[in-house]
Formats: sequence, structure tokens, C-alpha cells
Amino acid sequence: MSASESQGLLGAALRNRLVLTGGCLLALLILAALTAPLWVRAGLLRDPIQQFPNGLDADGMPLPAGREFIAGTDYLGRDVFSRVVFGTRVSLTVGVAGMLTATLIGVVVGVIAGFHGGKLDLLLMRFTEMNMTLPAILLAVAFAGVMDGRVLHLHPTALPWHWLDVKLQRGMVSLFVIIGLVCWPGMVRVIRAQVLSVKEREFILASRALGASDARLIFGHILPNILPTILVMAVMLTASTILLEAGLGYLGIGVPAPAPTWGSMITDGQPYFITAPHLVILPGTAIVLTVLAFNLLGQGLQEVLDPKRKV
Amino acid sequence: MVGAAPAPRPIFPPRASQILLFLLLFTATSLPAAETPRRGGTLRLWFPQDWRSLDPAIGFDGDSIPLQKLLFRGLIDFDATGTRLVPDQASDWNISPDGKTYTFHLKPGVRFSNGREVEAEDYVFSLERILDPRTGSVGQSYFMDIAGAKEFTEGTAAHVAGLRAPDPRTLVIQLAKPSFTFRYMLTMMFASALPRDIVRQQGANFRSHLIGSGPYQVREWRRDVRWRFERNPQYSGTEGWVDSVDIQFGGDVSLRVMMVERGEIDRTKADAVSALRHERDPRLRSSLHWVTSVNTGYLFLNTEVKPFDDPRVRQAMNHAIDKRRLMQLAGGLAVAADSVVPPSMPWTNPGLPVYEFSPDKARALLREAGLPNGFKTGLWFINARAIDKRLAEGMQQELRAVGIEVQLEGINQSAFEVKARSRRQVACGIWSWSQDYPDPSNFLDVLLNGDRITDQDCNNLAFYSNPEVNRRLALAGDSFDPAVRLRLFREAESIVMQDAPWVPLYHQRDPIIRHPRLRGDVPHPVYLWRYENMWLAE
Repeated sequence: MSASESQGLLGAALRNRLVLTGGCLLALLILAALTAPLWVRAGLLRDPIQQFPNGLDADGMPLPAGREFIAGTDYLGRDVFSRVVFGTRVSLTVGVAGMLTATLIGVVVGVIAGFHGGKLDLLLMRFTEMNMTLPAILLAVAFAGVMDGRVLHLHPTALPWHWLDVKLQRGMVSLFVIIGLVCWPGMVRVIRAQVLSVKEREFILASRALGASDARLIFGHILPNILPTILVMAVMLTASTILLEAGLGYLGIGVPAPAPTWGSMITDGQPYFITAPHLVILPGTAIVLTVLAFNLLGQGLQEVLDPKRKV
Repeated sequence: MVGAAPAPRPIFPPRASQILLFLLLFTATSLPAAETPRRGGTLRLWFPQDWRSLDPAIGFDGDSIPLQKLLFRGLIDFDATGTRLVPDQASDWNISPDGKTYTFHLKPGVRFSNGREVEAEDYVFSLERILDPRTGSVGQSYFMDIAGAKEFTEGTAAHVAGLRAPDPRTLVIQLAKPSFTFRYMLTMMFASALPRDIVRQQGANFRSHLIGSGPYQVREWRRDVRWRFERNPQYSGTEGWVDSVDIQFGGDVSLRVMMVERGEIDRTKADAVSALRHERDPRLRSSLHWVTSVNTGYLFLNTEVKPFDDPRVRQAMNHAIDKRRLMQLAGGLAVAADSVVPPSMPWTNPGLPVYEFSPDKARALLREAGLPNGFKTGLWFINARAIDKRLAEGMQQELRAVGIEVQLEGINQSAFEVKARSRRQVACGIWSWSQDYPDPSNFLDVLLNGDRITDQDCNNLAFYSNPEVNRRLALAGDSFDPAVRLRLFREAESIVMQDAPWVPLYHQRDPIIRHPRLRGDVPHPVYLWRYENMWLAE
């Protein structure tokens, strides 16, 4: 890909309305996530986990939107607006990290299966299909159930390699690993198909004839050629990982309390949906906007990167 | 207690409101007497989820006990005040002067729903079944005072020596040592009469073929879907007004409340939000009723686990938690607790030490205990108990203010019970206990007697043992003198509060939403409510 070609792509992307809308939305969300702690220091936002004694009315009920709390308070007297803004941090971090984990697994499995072929391909693909039959959320719940604070000793008992001990506990890291572990199968089939088609092209055959190693073929020729596909799929996948994070938070197995997560905010607000609907609507809107941003961006990138478009 | 809500803006001065409360109580309890109860109709109920079993040896929770009471009956029962014992299916009983021999004579003509007459041998069988470790009943520990119970549970005796049926209508229970509270154990569902032939035949399958001598019998059970009870034609008692009881499961609490509003079901337990919505709406207000249960919710601090083995740390926890603020989070579903035994027992202990909310004192105590920077611990609770979850989240903030970093560990009830009842598994957690019988020993002796600690299935979740407390509880257990027992229990409670194995948190109040056609729904101090007294107006 030459410099002018990539400049042309950037221009095309910026002229695409889908990319533009999704990108702007995402930029806003990222900005909010990055600068939230600064706003707290400047006094424009409140601490999202602070329970304010004046945040509940005399009957112990959450306050509606008002001058003191611009989007009202939740059932513990915490500021809802601050929690929604800080929720962006959790959602984006877990969503993107989960996407990267899934993409890494998906690309590695897909490339190996496609490039190597034969029995290994058969084995990997059947394993992938087996994983696809299990609903992601169910699998994630099962994985989350294992996170009960036990310590996993990965080293042989005879050797004191305690740096290999893994403590199974709930938190951001275990959450994105779990999400990554359940979201990869969708990626594999597409990557494998791409690798299969690229592998048979003349320039690959030429390189091989010139004595290029497998590693060189994969990293030097195949991967750069399927990068646009990976990029589009990864962006689209982020929408699903964010939804999954919210779903797990809703079920009470996301990032543990008192961390502000959109999913758990909806669960906690659910009993109040008649008396204080804002508790559910605000985090719900945040989830919709974030997922929308990634979907628009993904769709737009697909249009821009589609080679047939240029014809 | 009707209308005892902690009203934030009192409309009446205290005295006037007390009079009004009395009048309300009076009219509420006299309503069924003024109106003649009508027989007939179907009582429709919904609950969050099905129970593991309604077998009286297994089911032991506040929701299932009043339902078990419809199917099973025993020798004696509580009257409407919940303090006096009255005969149920025994015609009379007497206790020997040494307090060790209980003799019961059974009423003639009492039959199981399959038509067979209840015999004394059925009671011997049912009590042996509770004691038999193979049954896996949580009721076992309540009946260990029976002579020969120990040998039977250890497997060295084929039968319990202290249980005899000299003739089909006479039951003799011999205790190993005198016990004032043993009579109360016989009111519990564990001591219900079961048809020994049917239970032997069905074995573990009995839970699907429940047969008892209560006013109703099971017509249908589809697990997790529905229970249907119908009148037991063999029942000779007067209560049991409705013809059938229909129980279904599912939906969330707000949905169940709306079903009552629409007349689809007759009553349900509500949550704080729905209760408040009814309180604020003049059209709905009359369908809301508060029931005060005789219960204490508490944070147990495992005295065998660091750093809670140091009483100063436990006292610091007591000072660090602002119960008054926590009660605001509970939204009217609880009142702050400062004692082990709930004041609704009835119970007073004027000399009881009370911990004021003071983060400074908490920090000073932590410094004294060598923990100036605080510590980290896990706080366990049952996820499904909304009030416990809220209080845990509230406490997390208060404890952080004195340097105690708490990780919230909410799990399901059965997992919680297995973990918390085993030694050194849980450092601290929230648990609540409701009375089984109106005696302070039901709290102090069951929950805090160090001599009753077991490695598993232990009720003393703090694994707290102080010989001074244990000795007093043992003396009170042997004594039949009310004044002596009162003194010993008060002393024991004061020592417990000083040692602080608990942070007492709350006494619960349940909001009940009731359809206007439902009558005779009078709260009961022990069973909370009795469906057999409820009836439906036209």
C-alpha cells in the first residue's frame, strides 16, 4: 500500500457519513472516559462511588433530576450523571480489551487453520464450530462462576515457581479475558476463508518459489492483505463485547461493586422504573450510543475498505 | 405491627399516634370476629421461586413454614399471641416434676389425608426421622436433648431410647436433662406427624407425595411452576376457610404487586419501592400492611479469623458503621438494631452496652490493635436479599472511611449457608435470624453458645465462644425459674455485646400488599401469618 493510496483511504473514510458520525460519537465517549477524573477535580463531576447523605429523600428514595444532582441520584444516594460518565471508562476498557483478546485468538486460530490446512485445519475448525454452538452469554456466566477467589497453581508442585500462580477473582482483567474467550469463534471462519483465498494468489506462490519461510509468508504477505477485514471485524466485534459486558454487569457478574458499570446500574434501577425511570434510561441510552458508535464506524469502514467500491 | 412505620414527618404527636396505633391494631384484629368468615374460593399466591421441598424435615424458611402448616400438624401450637402454648392434635399433656418426662395423649379421630388415624407411633417415627443423619434435616440439633438421641445419631442405637408409644394414643418423650425450651421445639414443623407407612414406602420421594394431618392436602405439584392444595376432607378442626390454595412462581416483586392491584392474586410481599408507592397513593394505601417479624439481621465477625480474633477490631467495626444512615438505605423495611435479641420478643435489657457511631473511636481502636492503616477483608452476603445487598454497599463506604477496605462477595443462599456455616471460611458476612419460638435462648443459645460450635452446619457463624457466656446459657437452659432465666440471659447478652462478635444491624419489617377481598390476614408473631385463618369476601 503506497503513501498516496493510504491518504486516499483516509480521505474516503472522512467523506463517509457513517464513519464520520460513528467516529465523532466515539471520540466524544473516549474524551469523556479520559477526562472524567479531571472533571471531578475541577468540581464539575462528583465522585461516582460516594454515597451522599442528602442524596436520598426522607423515605430513603432516590432523588429526581434537580439543581443539586443534575440527573438525580440512585438507590444509595450516588450521583447518576457521574456514574454514567465514569461507566464509559469501564465499558470502553473492558469492551476494547475484550475485543483485542478475541481478535488475537481469532486471528491466530484462523491463520493457522487456513495456512496449514489438512487435519489441523479440520480439528481447529470443528473446535471453533463447537464453541459457536454455545451461546456466548451462557459460556461467559459459566466462566465467571469459576472466579471465586481460588488460587490456580500453574507450576508443577515440586517447583516453587509462584509467579505462575493465578488468583481467580472477579475484576476488570478477568472480565475482559472471559469476554475475549467467548467472542473469538465468529472471527475465525472469516479469517480462515480470507487466508485460503490469499494463499493461492500468484504473488504468494512466487514468494514461496523464491524460498520465503512460512513466517515470512504469514507476516509479510498474508496478514497485511487481510488487515482491512480484521479491522472491520474488530470494530464490529467491539459493539458485541460492550453489549456482553453490560449484560454480565446486569446479571451481577461484571466488574464488582461499587464500580460504576452501566449494566449494574440498570439492574439496580429496575425496581424504580415506575417511580424513578431515569435510573434505567440514562445508562441504557449510554449503552445504545456506544454500541451505535462502533456499529456505524464498522459499517462505514467496510464501505471504505471494500475493494469492489473502487471499480 | 400495623402502621409502625418510622414516619419521617409525624402527623400526630407521639401519644396521639400511639392511641391511633392501638385503635388500628384493635380494629384490625377484631375485623374477622365482627364479620362472619365465608367458606369457599381459591386463595391465589405467587412467590419468587419454588422451595427445595415442603417436607417438614427439610423446608425451614419464613415463606414455606406457613404453607407447611396447611399440610402438617403436630401435638401443640401457639395461640394468636404467639406466646402461649395450646393443644393442637394432642388432647392434653403433662411434664413430670423433674422436667424430664413429657407425656402426651392424642385427640381421638385425628386422621391423615389418606384416611388413616394418627397414632403415637407416627410421632416416634417422625422425630426419629428428624434425628436420623440420613434425612439431612436442619432440625436435628433442636432435638438432641431427647434421651438416647446422641447414641441414635452416632449409629450405636437402632432407636431413640427416649421416644416411646405405650399405646396408640399415648406418646412419652424422655429427655436426657431437664429443658425449659423443649416444649417449644414441639411446635416447630419438624415435630409434625407423618404417616410412617407412607414415608417408609416413599423414602426420599416423600416430598412428591406429601401426606399430613393438616387442613389441606396437595392436589398438584409441578416443580417451579405450581402447587395446588385442596381441602383435606378428613380434617376435624374448624380453620381452613378457602376451598383451595393456588401457588405459582416467577415474576419480579413489582410485577407481583401489580398482580395484586389487578386482582389476579390475593397477597404478596412487597419491596420498599412498591410499599412507598402504595403509601403515597390514597387509592392504594389501604392495601398496604406492615408485619414486624421477630428477627435480627447482623454482621457476624468470625472470631477465629484474623483480624477479627481481636475484640478491639470487632468493637471498631461496631463504632465505624452508621446504622441510622443504613436504615435510610433500607427504605423503611428495617429499623436499626442495637441488641442480639429483638425487642419484639418481648425483651428488654436496660444494662446493654450500645456502640455509638464514631469513626474517631473506630480509628483509635484499630491503632490500639496494631492496625493503624486498617486492613482488607471480604464481606459476604446473600445476593437475593435486597436489603442485605444495600447495607453491604452502604457499609463498604463507612468502613473505607476508617481504613477498612471491604470487597463485596454476594452469592446465592445455599452456597452462602454451606460456606458461612463451616469453620474459618468466611471472615465476615450478613445473616439474619427469625425466631422459632418466643424465648431469648432462640437467639443467644442457638447463635452464640460456644459449646454448640461444630465444624460444619454451625449456627454460630461468628464461631464465638466465651466460657462466661456459655456457662450462663447452660444454667438458663436447665432452669425453670423465669426470673433466674431473665437475669442469666441479660448478663449473657451484655457480655456478648461487650465482646462484639456481631454488629447488630436491623430488625426487619415486611410490607404486605393485600387485595381488599382478602380477610382474616392477621400477623402472627411466630409464623408471621396463617393462611388457614384467611378467607375471601364475596
